[in-house]
Amino acid sequence: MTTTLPPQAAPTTTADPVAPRTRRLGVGSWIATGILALVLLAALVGPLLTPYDPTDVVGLPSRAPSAEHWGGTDSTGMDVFSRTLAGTRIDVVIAAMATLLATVLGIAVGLGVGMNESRRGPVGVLARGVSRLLDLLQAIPVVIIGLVVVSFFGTSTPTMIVALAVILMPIQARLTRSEVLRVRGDAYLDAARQAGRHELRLIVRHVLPNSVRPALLNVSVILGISIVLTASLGFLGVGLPPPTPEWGSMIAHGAGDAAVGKWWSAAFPAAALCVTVAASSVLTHRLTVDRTS
Amino acid sequence: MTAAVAAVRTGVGTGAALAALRRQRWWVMRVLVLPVHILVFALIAFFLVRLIPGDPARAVAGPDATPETYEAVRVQLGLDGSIWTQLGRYVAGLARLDLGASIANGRPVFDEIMARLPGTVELAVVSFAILVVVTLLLSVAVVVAPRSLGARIVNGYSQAAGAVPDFVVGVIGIFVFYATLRIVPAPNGRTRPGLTEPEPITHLPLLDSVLSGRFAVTSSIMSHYLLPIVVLVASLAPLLLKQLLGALAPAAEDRSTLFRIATGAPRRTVLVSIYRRALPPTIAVFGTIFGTLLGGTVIIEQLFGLGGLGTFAVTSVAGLDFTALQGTLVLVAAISMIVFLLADVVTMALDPRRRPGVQGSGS
Amino acid sequence: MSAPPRLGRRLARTVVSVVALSLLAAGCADSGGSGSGGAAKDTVVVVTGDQASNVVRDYGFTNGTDNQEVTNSIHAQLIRKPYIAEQGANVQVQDLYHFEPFLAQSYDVSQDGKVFTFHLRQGLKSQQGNELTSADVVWSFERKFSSKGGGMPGYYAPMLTDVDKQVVAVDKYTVTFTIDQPGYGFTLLGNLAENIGSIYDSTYLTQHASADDPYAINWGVSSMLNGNSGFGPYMLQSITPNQEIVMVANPNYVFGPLPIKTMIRRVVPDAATRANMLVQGDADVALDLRPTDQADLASNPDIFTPTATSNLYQSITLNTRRAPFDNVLVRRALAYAVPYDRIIDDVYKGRAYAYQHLLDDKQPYYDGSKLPKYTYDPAKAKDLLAQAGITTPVAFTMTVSNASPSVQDSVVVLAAAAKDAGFDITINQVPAAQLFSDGLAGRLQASMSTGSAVTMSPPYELNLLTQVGGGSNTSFWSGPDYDAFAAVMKQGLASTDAIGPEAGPLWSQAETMLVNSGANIFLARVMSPYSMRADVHGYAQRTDRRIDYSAVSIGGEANS
Repeated sequence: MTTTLPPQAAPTTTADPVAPRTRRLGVGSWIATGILALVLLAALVGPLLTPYDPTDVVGLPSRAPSAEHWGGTDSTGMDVFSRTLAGTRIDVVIAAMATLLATVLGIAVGLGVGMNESRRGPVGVLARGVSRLLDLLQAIPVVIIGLVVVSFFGTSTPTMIVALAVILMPIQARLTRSEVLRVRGDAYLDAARQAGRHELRLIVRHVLPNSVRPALLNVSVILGISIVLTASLGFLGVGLPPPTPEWGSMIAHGAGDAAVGKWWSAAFPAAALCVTVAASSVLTHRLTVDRTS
Repeated sequence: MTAAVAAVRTGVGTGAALAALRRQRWWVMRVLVLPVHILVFALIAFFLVRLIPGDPARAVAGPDATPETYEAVRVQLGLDGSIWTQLGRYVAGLARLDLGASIANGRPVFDEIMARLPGTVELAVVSFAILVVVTLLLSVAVVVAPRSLGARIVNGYSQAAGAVPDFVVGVIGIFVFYATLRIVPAPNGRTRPGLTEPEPITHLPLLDSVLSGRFAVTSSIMSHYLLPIVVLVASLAPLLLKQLLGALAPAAEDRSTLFRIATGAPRRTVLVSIYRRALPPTIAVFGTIFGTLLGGTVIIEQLFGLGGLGTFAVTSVAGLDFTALQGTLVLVAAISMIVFLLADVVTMALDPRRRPGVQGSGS
Repeated sequence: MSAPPRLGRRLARTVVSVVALSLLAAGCADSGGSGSGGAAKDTVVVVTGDQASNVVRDYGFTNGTDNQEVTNSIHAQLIRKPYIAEQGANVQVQDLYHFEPFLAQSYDVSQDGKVFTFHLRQGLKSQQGNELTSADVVWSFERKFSSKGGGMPGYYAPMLTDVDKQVVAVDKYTVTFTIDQPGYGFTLLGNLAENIGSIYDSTYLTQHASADDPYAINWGVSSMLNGNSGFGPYMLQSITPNQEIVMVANPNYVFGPLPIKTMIRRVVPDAATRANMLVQGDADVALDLRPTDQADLASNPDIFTPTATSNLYQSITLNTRRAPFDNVLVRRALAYAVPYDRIIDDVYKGRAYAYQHLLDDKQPYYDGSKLPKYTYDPAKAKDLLAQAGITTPVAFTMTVSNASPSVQDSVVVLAAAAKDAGFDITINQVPAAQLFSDGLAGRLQASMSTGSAVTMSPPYELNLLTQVGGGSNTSFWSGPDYDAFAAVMKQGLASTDAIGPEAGPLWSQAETMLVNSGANIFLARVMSPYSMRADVHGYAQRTDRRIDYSAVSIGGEANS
């Protein structure tokens, strides 16, 4: 069967004639799971374990990693290792909350739009309008929207979460919408309708479970984008203000030093960021492949 | 609903021309609503920009401005009157392709953007072409030998999509290849200092250097483009690969593919068949990536001194240049929308079932 | 499917050849770097973080390093401040208290100190080839005062208020400036010697004027290349937006011919990359470097970093209208919570020096003996807070620009140190333009920034920070203390000579009152953020900190 679904929307009702692959999780998946567990642990208890106060000047500035400062010190004399560890919580909280918010909102909007798009009357017009709007928002680079939104809201953790959620919601909404459009025509829905089921109940019982999959599978991507976007905004000078230990701002702040050879103040948070995003990406990819084939 | 579309609807069966138009409706409709979309977007941009705190008139009027001077500056900048008056002026200007005058330097925003757009477009097109080629080649490697070491590496790389931000790759690249190894030129723009770009013919710097026969400039530009393009390709390729591999896997296992292999069709034919099945759903992603290359490569522009649209947008935000920012947003969006439209038309041309109004999707 | 060796090999070959080709292209084009190595010694390559976008000083606030360097290079003034040696410095600095002829051949002052007569050089041509006459001078000042955007009337207040009456052409080569009070004279001369005193080619500009645009300001703005309308050393040749500006020597320059014929100004937004390019020889001069990079470059024999006193001060401004800084004791407490030495040593790596007041201490008749001595003293800060009857920690937000790394680092160091002194500082970073406009609108509690007065005249410097509606007045200092201060200022302005024996002590007294008020806390003076290749000669530190490229030459023995 050839799928006409948009990307990401893996076929859910495939009757694949090819023998299913073994359902064994590979070594990669276990490593990724282990790393993610470590990241979550660091987010939970990391701030308690830091050798130094992550927001205080605790040594001479720009010192290379040593026994005393495992990750060296940054240009103001704060401990890079402590800050990277403490930053896990902030980055995970921002990314997780933004992803949650974007996904919940996105699914709601996608459902609403998808179910009402072909209706007549003001509701249909509104739904079609929102649908076009979701397409339009895609036409602007997220970094620039982020820049504008953050300069409006100011930089703090909650506003960062809201800004990211606003930017990323359309992606989830579009994924859900196209699934809804596919599911909506299915025969069992008509059957249920003819059986006199209430429309809302129908949506919750039948449409929702059958159309959220792509958005849920996309969560790891959204998670990754939100971490990277936070970092990019930090790089453009609108990240969380110092001395907040946030990876993106730390990388941005340390990038100049890295360019002249003092690699450590940017390298530790950069490594933390890359490993976290890669682990979550690999894990969801493996799970997706495992479940769909 | 525009008049033309209404005509298409009411004119069913009244003439051969209209009938032909009706057959082409799937793309004509899209083209006709494009200006409406751009207008809607322009409104969004207007209000979005007005959200930014800060008072550009105050910044322009400068130290020691008296209240009268300050008022005069507001008038000069077009920031007087209510927000609705400003909106009216803005929309009226848009109709004449007039995006207003930049607050920072008083020049027409349209000209300012046009001075930067060709360079940005050229870099985007070149990087995009290389990106597509690299992605396709890597995906072929996976399709033809899914269990080989190379395929595993490519798979792992695609799964790390988005994990390494472009600025990390960029900073590492500059440190290693410029500061340490010195195999690429200084990240200071398109040409080496002292080598002026040729007189504009097409306004695309690389193409102009070839057309005017100044190959020294051509090779200088190419060498300056090398590292930024490698950085862009290395950080964007996983996104595309992930989509493409995701679509290729089912296509490779599709019944018709298996049939072709079973009947002993040449490898080339099998590959072409697989890609024809897998490409349509990924073309939209290719379109999005191209849009990103147009305005979203701010960080690469900053790192390599390639002043383009992204840099213009960022300096506009920093300088509270409302007119410049809204103009850039509208123009980038308009170009992206045209690219999306082209991507959709290509997809629909390749696969007619994707056209609107076509029912059924099963094979 | 199994691995087809043929296809795989072909793929590998394709990839390898693509990579090889591109490397070859890189090697062919710019082997051995792309910089000044191959360029002749009459060319200077400058790397700058931003790019000039408007060279018409009368249109808008032409802020930014590059804008000022480019406009400075295009224009010349009637007089200028001579370069002199300074003890302990490795470059020349500007003499703040004397002026030498520039476009004028000489000038004299009337007995009562109210009429300044300038005798212009004869036969001097502009960049467009038109002769300099007194009409150019008069027209230039009419243009400056006709425009709302440039803020010129503000700079010249209160010396010049009615240019038609005060600036008069006596004959073709003589022009007079008349002022009401002799006390204004020094500040007037100071302004005439800076870029706000530039003289334009009126013959050329009036050709492009129209009824709507009588001073050709809009015409000048419409294209940057229309900016070649002055008498300065360099003219614009080409502009690539956000990338490059090329300037060439003005053949008609008054002190020509110039050793540097071509100036290539490249935009390199990242400060560390600018430092790298200097090291690699890809640039001759790098602007706006980070002090850490300058400190690292100190040991490199190929790089020369100017060391001299500077008029760039780093300061904290406290909004005296908002809690908690509406209380003078809290402001003074914060002055004792600043780790002055750490900021100089750790953030500036010695590229700044202790200087806790505003005025130049080499100014004639200056007396700083009564200034309060602020040091990092947490106990004293807590004492003052207790006296103020305020509960600690005192929480407040300090706003800084997101584009000045040293200030951002300083505020982190401050926040850490001020914890022990009873302050809880939240840092807020905003774009520079927003910092500026929010500050003037009174929306900020506290801010930290660097600043300077280009015209180093004591009343001008003091007024910039304190005058109602003053361009840098974001403390809004008022009340009885301010009134006393204003009275002293008035007395000083009424004296016959702003740098004479009568006025000097008054300025010192006013400054002490300002520092005591704690409305502005002066942390340090910051040295020039510029470094250059060691074979760049003739750099002199100006009070506007911009480079006078007409004095620069390249080649020969290295500076040390």
